[in-house]
Amino acid sequence: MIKLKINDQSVEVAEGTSVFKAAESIGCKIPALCYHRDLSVYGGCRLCIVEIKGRSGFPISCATPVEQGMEVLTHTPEICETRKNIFDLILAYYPFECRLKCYSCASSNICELRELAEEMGIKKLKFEPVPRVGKIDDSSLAVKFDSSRCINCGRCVRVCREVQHVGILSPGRRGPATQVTTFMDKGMGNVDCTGCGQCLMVCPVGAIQEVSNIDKVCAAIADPQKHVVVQVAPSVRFTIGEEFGSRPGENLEKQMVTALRQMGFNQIFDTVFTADLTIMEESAEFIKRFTEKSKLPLISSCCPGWINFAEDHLPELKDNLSTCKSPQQMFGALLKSYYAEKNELDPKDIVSVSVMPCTAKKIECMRPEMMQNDTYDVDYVLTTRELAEMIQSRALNLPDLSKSEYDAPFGITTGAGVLFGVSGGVMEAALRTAYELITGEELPQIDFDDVRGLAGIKSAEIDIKGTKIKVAVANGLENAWQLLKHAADYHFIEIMACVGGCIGGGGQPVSRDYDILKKTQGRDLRG
Amino acid sequence: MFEYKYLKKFIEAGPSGDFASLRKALEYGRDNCLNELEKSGLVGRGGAGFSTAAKWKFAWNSPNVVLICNGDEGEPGSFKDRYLLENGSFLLLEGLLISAFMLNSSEVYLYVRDEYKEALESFRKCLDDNMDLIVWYCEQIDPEFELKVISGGGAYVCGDETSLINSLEGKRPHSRIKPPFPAEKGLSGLPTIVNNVETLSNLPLIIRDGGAKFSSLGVEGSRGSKLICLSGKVDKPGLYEIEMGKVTLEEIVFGFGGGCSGKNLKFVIPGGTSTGALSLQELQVAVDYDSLRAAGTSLGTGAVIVADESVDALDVACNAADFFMSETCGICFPCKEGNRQIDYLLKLTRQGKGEERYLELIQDVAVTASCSARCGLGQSCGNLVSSLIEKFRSDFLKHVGEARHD
Repeated sequence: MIKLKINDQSVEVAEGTSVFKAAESIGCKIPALCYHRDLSVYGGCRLCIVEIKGRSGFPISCATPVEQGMEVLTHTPEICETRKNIFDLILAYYPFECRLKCYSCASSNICELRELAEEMGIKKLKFEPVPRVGKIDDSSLAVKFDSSRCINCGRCVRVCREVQHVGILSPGRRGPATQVTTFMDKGMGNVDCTGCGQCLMVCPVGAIQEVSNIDKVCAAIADPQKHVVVQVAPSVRFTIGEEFGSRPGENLEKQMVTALRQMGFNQIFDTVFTADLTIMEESAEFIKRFTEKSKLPLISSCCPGWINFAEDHLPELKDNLSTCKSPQQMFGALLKSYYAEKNELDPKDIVSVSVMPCTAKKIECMRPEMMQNDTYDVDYVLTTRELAEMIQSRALNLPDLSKSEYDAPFGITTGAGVLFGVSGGVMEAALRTAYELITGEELPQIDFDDVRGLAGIKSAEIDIKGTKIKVAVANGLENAWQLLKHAADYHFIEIMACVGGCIGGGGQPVSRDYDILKKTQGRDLRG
Repeated sequence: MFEYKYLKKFIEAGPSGDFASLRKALEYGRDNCLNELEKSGLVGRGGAGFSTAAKWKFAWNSPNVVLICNGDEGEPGSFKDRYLLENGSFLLLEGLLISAFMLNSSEVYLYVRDEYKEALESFRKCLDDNMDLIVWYCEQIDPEFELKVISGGGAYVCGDETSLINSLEGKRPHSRIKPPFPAEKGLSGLPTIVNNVETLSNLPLIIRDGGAKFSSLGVEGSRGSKLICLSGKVDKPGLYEIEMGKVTLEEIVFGFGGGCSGKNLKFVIPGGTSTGALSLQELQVAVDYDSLRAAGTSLGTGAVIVADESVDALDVACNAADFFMSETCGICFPCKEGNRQIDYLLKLTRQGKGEERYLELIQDVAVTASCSARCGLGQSCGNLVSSLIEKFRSDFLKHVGEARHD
C-alpha cells in the first residue's frame, strides 16, 4: 500500500493507483473530460492537473501513479485558474449557440461541460469564440455524429477500439483541424460500424446521438389511417425510470404502458412474447445441431450489434449463428402477417414501432430481408431515451402514472424471456428449455449462476442427464472477440455486443453513475 | 571576433577513414566510455538541455535498447542538424556506432525530416562509402546490428521524442504520456534512447579527446561547443560554432553577423520560435543554458533569429502563432485550443478588429499552456508571442482599432 497526502489529508491506496483515483477515494473530485473509468488514459483535456510537491509544472492526475509520501494539492488558485482557462478555451471553439446556454440545449441533461462549469464555478467566459464549421455525419441508420459539437476527447475512439474491438473512429487530419472521424470521412454508415452506440454512451457532450425517430412515430400516431402498434423490449422497463429520477433498476412497466396508451398507440405489446418464441426456436435448433453434431457451437443471433460485428469481422462463423430472427423481428413479422390477418388490417396500414435499449436495432429493422409485401416488419425503432423524451414532451411524469397492463393476446409470457435483458439471459432461458425438451422434466434449479452476471466472459459445463454441454457467454465485443478465438471448445455461445448485455445497451439512459450496471443487475429481472 | 571550431574543425578536415574514436571506444569498453561521457558534461542539443549520460543511465542495464537519432529539425531558424548531416555524415555515423556500442543497441534509427533530401542523400552515401566499417562492426561487435535511415512524416511535432517514436511505429505523431519515459518503454515497448544529431556528433570528439578536455570548454551546466544558426536581418547569416558561456548574444549578432546593415536592431530570438525574444538592451547575456534561462528565455536549438527596426512585432507574432497552431498534434486541449485562440486573436488584431484586452488573453493562454500542455511543443508555444507583447506592446496596440489591408 502507498501512503500519500492529498490536500493535507492522508490517503492509503494500492500501488499503481493514479492520483486521480486516490483523490476520488476520499471524495475529492478532480474535473476531467477525456478521462473515463472504463477506458485507457488519454491525457488530452489536461483539466485533471494537480500540484505535486517537488515537481515542476502541473502533472495530470489521471496518468500519474501515486508514490510513497507524495504530497498532492488539487485545488490551488493557480490550478483552478489554469483549469478555468483550459475549459474556457474549449468553449471558445464550441458552437456559438452553446456558451453554456443550457436552457436551449437538448443535450444539457447529459452534458459534462455543464456539469464541469458548475463544479469549477465558471461564472463567465473570457476568450473570444472562434468560428467553427462542422458537419453532421448522418450516414448511419443508428447514430449521427455532429462534429461541430465534438471536443475530440477521444472517448468514443477508445470505447470503439478497446471495449468493442471495432475501431472505426480515430482522430483524422492534423493540427488544428484534428477531428474524430471515420476512414476517409466515409461516415459511420459506410464503414464497419456495428451500430452498438457505445460511443454515444461515453460522449461527454452529446456530439454523437441516436438517429431520432420520434417525429416519424408521432406523425404515424397522428395519422388516422394508420394503426400504430408498439412492442417494448424486456430491459426497457428497468431503465426508463432513470430518465425520471427513479432508482436504477426500478420496474416501471405498468406506468410505461399507461404512458404509451396516453400517447395514442393503438396496441401495446411486450417483446417478451417473441423472446419466448426465440428461446423455443433456439433451443430446438440447439438440440438438433447437438444431436447431429453439426454447425457447433451454436451462437446466438438476437443481438444486432453482434450480428453486424460477426458479418464484418468473423464471416467464418456465419453458419454457426442461430437462424432465429431476433425477438424484435419475430414480433414485427407476426404483426404484419398473423396479426394483420386476424384483425383484418392491410399490413401497409400497420405502423410497427419497437422500443429497444439499442441503437443497432435501428439498423436491423432496415435490413432488406426483414421485409414482406413491400413493408418492413418493424418500421421504427425508438430507444429507451427516445421513449422517455416522448413521455417528457407530453409533460408526463412516469413514476406518477397509474398502472396498466400490456394488451392481449401477445401479453401472455412465460417469464423466461425477461431474462433477455441481461447478459447470459438468453443462454439461461434456452438451456432451461433445452433441458425440458431433452429430459421431459423441469429443471430443478432454474438459475445457471455460472453464466450470469457482469464478468465479460463466462463459461460453464451443464450436465443434462449425463450429457455434458459446454456453454459460454460474452458481453462486450472485445470480450466476444477473445472468447471466439476458442469457439470450437463450446457447444453453445451467447454474445451480446454491449457490456452488461442490453442493460448496458447504446439506447439506454446515458448514465454518469459508473455503478449503474451493478445496481440494475441486482434487481430481479424475472419480474 | 573569434569563432571556436571544434565540431566544425573536425568536419572541415574531412573524413579520415580510420574512425579512430570508434576503435578507441571499443578498446575502452562501454563503462569507461560512459565515465568519459559523464565527465564531459554533455547535455542534449535538441533544446531541453538534459544530461546525456543521465539519460543513458536509465537504460544502461536494459537489454534490447533502441537508439534513435533525432534529425527531424523542425524548429524554424534551425539548420545545424542539416549541416551536420550534409557535411559531417561520417562524424554522425561514428557517433551512432559509438553510441550503439555503449548502449548495447542493435536497433538504431536515424530519423531525418523529409524535406532534407540532400542530407538524406549525403548520409546514405556516407553509409555506402563506409560499408566495410559497418560490416566490420557487425562481425566484431554485434552481428544483430541494424541501422535504419528513416525519412520523417513531415510534422514539427515529430521533434518531440515520444511523437517521433509514434511516427516510427507508423502511428499518428502525437506525444505520449510520460511516465513511462522512452528510456523505460519506448519504440515497440522497448527501452529507447532518443538523442539529437548534434548531441551524438559530439560523441567521437569526447571519446577521442577525453571527457575532461570536452568539459574544459564552456561553463558549468553548458559544457563544450554549440552550433549557432544565425538568420534574419543580419548581414552575415550562417552557421557558427561557439564555446558556450564565453560569447554574448550581442557578439554573435554583431560579431559573426555583422549587424543589421546599419539599421537599428529591434530584438533577437535566441533559440528558435519556441523561445522568448530579447530586446537590444538584453543582448549582453552569455550564450549558455543557464544564462539564457536566467534572462527568461532559452538556448533552445541555438537558432538565433534577428529582427531589425523594420520588423513589426505583430507580424512576427502572427507568423509564429500560425506556425504553432498548424503544427499542434491536436490531442491536448491547452495546446490545440490555446494556439487556435492566440492565432485568432492576433489575426483579428492585425485586421484592425482587435481590442487591448486581447493581449492579456494571449498571455493567459501562454501561461496556461506552459504549465499544462502535454509536450515541449505545447509548453513553449506561447513563449515568443508573449515576450513580444511584453516588450513591444506598442506594435500590437497601434493596430487596435485601425484596419489594415494586406
